[in-house]
Amino acid sequence: MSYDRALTVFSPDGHLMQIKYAMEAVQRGACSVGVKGKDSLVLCVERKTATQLQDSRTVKKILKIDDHIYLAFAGLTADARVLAARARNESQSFTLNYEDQVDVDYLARFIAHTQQRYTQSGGRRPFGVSTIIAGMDADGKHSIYMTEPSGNLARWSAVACGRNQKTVREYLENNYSPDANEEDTLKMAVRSLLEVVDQGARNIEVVQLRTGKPARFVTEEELEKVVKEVEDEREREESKNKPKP
Amino acid sequence: SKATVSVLYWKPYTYNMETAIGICLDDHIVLACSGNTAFYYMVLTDREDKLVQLDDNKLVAATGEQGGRVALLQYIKCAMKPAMIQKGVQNTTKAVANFMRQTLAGGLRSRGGAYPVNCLLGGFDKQESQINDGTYGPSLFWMDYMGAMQKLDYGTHGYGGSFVTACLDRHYKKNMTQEESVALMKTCIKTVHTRLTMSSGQFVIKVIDKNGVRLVEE
Repeated sequence: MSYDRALTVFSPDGHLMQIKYAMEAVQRGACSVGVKGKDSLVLCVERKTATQLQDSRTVKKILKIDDHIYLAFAGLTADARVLAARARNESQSFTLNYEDQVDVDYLARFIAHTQQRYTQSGGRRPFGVSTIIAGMDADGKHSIYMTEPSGNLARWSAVACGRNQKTVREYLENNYSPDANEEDTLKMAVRSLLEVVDQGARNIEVVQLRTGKPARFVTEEELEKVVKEVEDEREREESKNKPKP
Repeated sequence: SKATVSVLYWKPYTYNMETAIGICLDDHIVLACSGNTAFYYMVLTDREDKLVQLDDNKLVAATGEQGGRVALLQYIKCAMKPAMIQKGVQNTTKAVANFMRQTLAGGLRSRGGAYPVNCLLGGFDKQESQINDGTYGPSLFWMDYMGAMQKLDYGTHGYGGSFVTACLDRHYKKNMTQEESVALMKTCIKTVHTRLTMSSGQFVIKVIDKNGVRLVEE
């Protein structure tokens, strides 16, 4: 008896197999990292190497939801696009009703709730994405949330999802410090992703949100500088740990 | 079968002594709107800012009943944003104007009647990227509550507009500097104060140029 066909059927040991399989789809997606600093947030994603004929500007892995909220994801790109479109509409709908910028946790809960709704009715499949939502509230509070295909939601100080996320999370757990300034947060995020990504600033895309300043995509020149710093640091540490002959 | 009660109530549009003025020059736009807001015979405020900023460089000078006017402009502001965020590029003024016109026209045979709003939409399009359709520079669109829309060099709404149009017919030149055009706007406003029986309150004047929107201090 296979219990993994229908979404709305539990297996005897209490699992919804379709959701588990959706998580598998997420595990195969390119890695995404979110790190929270003292007054900044960094979203960092692994970018597939650009194919020659493709206009890489149109392939976005970090999606802007509103001026103060960005979303990175791992998993099925098209599903993330649909979720982001709904989140954008909800953000404007909130502004229309309350005239305030949408709170980050409200939007994160909305996305998580959307993902959960697709796990409970028949005829639909779950969204095959985990999203990392980074946003700055109007009062300076900044937070990172992660949602999963099951509709789970949690707030994180630093998180990774997608391919090789275990390695990245281990690195973050060992090295994360909560009061890092803008530069250090950026370096932490890039370095954690470089644990699993082939060297090169060309394979990484980074968005930085800072208190009081507009959010920005980190330029390639600056990224190359940061990557170089990270590589130098790594070399120094390796040479220190190398056993003396 | 469900018993339904439907009430059809159509309220005719009445002009209410507000004046909106817009002047479009080579490299900037000046918009002004009277500040008077009244409830029947009682003045609520002398200086309401009816120049609503839709985004970095688009401004709408709107006249009409406050409830409908504010609701429509808030809706336009929020409705344009998701597509703009997804594209990554600002909408052109022409696109916003057409969307507004569509919304105004759509209200004619639905929702109990037209939105009670006459407005002037001014915007400055920057040369952003290849995705833009090539429009650059300022444009001014005149719209009325029935969904008529026209791109103009200068336009007005309201009773005071009759006097201002004559003034602009005489003095408007396309290549005026910002000082000259603001001075011309102030002349037009003086005309309104002089010739209109009811008070227009204090006008609010704003200028849109390539740097964005700025308020002109009295």
